[in-house]
Amino acid sequence: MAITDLTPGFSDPVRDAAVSFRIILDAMARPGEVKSLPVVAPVPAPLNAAAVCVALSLLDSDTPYWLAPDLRNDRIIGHLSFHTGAPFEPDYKKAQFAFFPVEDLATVMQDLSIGTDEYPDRSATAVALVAGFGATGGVRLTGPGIETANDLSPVGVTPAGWKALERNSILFPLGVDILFAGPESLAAIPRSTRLTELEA
Amino acid sequence: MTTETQDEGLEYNFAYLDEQTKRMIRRALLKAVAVPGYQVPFAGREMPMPYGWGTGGIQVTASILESEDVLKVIDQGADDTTNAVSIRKFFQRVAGIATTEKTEEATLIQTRHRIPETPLSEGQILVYQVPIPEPLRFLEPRETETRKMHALEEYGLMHVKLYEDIARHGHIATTYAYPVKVNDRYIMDPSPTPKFDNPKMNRCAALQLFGAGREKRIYAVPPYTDVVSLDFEDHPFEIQGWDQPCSICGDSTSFLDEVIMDDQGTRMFVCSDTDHCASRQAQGYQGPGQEAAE
Repeated sequence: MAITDLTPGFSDPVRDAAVSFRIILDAMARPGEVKSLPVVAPVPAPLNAAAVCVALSLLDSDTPYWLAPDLRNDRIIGHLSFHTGAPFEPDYKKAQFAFFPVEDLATVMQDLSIGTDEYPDRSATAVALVAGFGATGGVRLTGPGIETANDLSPVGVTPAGWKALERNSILFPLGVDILFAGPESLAAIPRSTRLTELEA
Repeated sequence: MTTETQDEGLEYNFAYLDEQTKRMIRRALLKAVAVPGYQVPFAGREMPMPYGWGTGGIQVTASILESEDVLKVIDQGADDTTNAVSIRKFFQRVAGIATTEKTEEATLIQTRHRIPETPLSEGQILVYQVPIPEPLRFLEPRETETRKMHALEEYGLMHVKLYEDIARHGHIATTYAYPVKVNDRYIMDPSPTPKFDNPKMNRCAALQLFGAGREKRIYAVPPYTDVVSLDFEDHPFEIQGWDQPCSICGDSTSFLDEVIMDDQGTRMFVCSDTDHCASRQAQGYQGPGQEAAE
């Protein structure tokens, strides 16, 4: 791949990473609230804007990441490698960050690292790419960060996907933290959140 | 509000820390928020001030700061004491951000051992400077053991400690760094805040982040999270009270500091939260000290 094929990263890396992180932190601290992206960096297909935002603000040489086969191509691996220095990890069980289409949630969640009893922080962060967030259906969320209850309906989560997330919350304090990355916004369901499925 | 531009020719990276350090701390913060009350180890850096001066809180603040933030720094409730002034100046210098002494105006508040009297709102983040993050440390010095105790939720020892207080003094004598249970799982040290502030942590609308620089730990309490002070049915948790109001503003609900006035034993009690006291004075409230002076 020639250097001219590279897509640019953040236009102002220090500022853009800071404002992007604040949105991610806010989303993680308030599960189920959909947060608009403050900046949009160029997106190499088939990633989306929020996934790129998360990658550019959180990945570096210390964080092996995994891409689902549907998202994997030389251009994207080259892009993330150039802008973040993060190593691509072919085995998703060893990855600290896993990027995948939300339809794969149930299968990917089975094997991502959930941390250990003594170090629950040594777990993976899942970045599930979604087409957007719907108005109905989905799940009702309760727990830390939520005043009463928040409803969240990422487009494309399968019934098996919701079951996987319910299992994940039972593992608390172990478990995976999930970021739903959309084309304009993102939302999170950390492991501390409890879920109840809603009728569509 | 004041802003101060950086000295010409001497440029720091925004908010002093390099970007890789910020990313490492940011990842630790996300884990801390996801597991409320659990202490996440992080690779704490040396800061241009000694341990004990808030290096943990400063690293957390530096990693979450953005240029639009308005920063307030308090030291035991006061905006104008050494630690608060020097940290505020540090961030004005290395980040060029706006600062304030008004609690309502701040988006980010770094604190040493107090929570402002004004209730915090959803748009705010409170960053605590923490000296010793491990609540079990004085009961069990080995990190390997305390880590196992947290993993197994084996907290009986902490209740024994509180019980011994009752056996010896007739009441729970712990008045600061009073242990709390977060989200019904982890026992957490609320940093050496007076226990008076513990109820403010419970279901607080703001995000609370804790940084311990020497011990290299970060932990967090997300908004609206249950934070319960440990107690017994027959010895319920109680906060401190005073039998007189603040001498300056007359408030009888805020946390008061005792100030020695002379060598004859004269003393006065004043609000520890200087912004709270000043805004009450601006509203025309007067305490017994002021009335006597007139």
